[in-house]
Amino acid sequence: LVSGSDREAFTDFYRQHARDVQRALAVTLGDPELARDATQEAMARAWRSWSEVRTFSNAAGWVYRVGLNWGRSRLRRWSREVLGAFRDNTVEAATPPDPALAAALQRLSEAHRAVVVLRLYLDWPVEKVGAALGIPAGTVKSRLHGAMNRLRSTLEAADAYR
Amino acid sequence: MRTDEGIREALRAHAEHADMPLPPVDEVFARARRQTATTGLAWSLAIVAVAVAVVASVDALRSPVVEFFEQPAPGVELGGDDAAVTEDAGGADRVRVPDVTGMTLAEAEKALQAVDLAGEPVSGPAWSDPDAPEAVVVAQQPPVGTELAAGEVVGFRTALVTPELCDVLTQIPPRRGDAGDLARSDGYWDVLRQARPVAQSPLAGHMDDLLAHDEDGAPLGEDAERALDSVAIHHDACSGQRR
Repeated sequence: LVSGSDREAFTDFYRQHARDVQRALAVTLGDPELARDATQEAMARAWRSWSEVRTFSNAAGWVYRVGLNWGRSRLRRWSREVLGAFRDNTVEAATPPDPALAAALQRLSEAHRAVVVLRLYLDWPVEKVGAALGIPAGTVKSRLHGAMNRLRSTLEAADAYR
Repeated sequence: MRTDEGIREALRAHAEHADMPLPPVDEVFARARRQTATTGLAWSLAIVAVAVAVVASVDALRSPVVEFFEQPAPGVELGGDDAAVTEDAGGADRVRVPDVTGMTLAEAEKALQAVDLAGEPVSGPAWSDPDAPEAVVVAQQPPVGTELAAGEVVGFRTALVTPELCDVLTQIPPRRGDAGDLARSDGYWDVLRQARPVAQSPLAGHMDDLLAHDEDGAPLGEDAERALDSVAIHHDACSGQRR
């Protein structure tokens, strides 16, 4: 049974974290529209299991992970179907403020991009990032190290041509 | 040269730029209701499917359920570049680890990304090492065919397979069997002695272990098996073979 206070608590949680999760997923998945849908899907699942999710130490991390899995599945289906080509050809993305960074992020694997986004954009500590992604803190550190090296070298090369 | 703080700032601007209006929370509640209804319908359909299958035959029981989660269906042969994808109840795709041994770092990265996995060099030259563009993957963990959740990481060892090393190693013809068969090839131990000075770690250490065995008659243990594999993998990479 859902009580009024549960609904209120979830609404607070949504207001506090949904935008951050949506932005983080937009960068990780590289598709803002999909990220919004993934966030909604994950938040709806969180509400359905709210009695459990609210006890998590990093419930927002759980939502991010569920959204990432869901968004990833969608991307794979799109890439296999005609819809993938349809989306690529018809949705014209606005030019990002830093095209070199956008391109460098896309060159990272998704696993590395996720670590960069959670650690640098959301400013979560290494342990919290690891808990959200289901990986040890040491793996977070090594992925972050590799990703930053790659970002730096890609950006350096891109900036040299500007 | 950008600083980490500069990258962080640019990332914030990038994320804010990628933002879209946040739907009201009521839409989440409505979506959750639809999920519950869909799940109920799916369970009903599954129960009906199982009941029908039980009546038809015990063998038919399995397929309606499995087809729900696995593509392509069990038993379908895949091409070399295909990846089998399954989906678990939590919504996470599962994929099978491809064989990336013998590939360059760039090729391995691309092959793993194609099936939505990530790669992590755990020893040897790393992704960003500008001095090792010719480094190749010589071993991977978990092995080929293991099922992982999409986004998980495959660790691998990389090594430098230099022209100098390959010039010597390819004096042994491509192998037809396992690493032990290669070691029984004519001239194997002589080639090993010639190749040792141009080999780099960890291959150099493996060669030392093998040569010690050859000279002192020390027994071949697990370490020697790993060393034989290491030589064979480098030999494969030089011969353009993938295992």
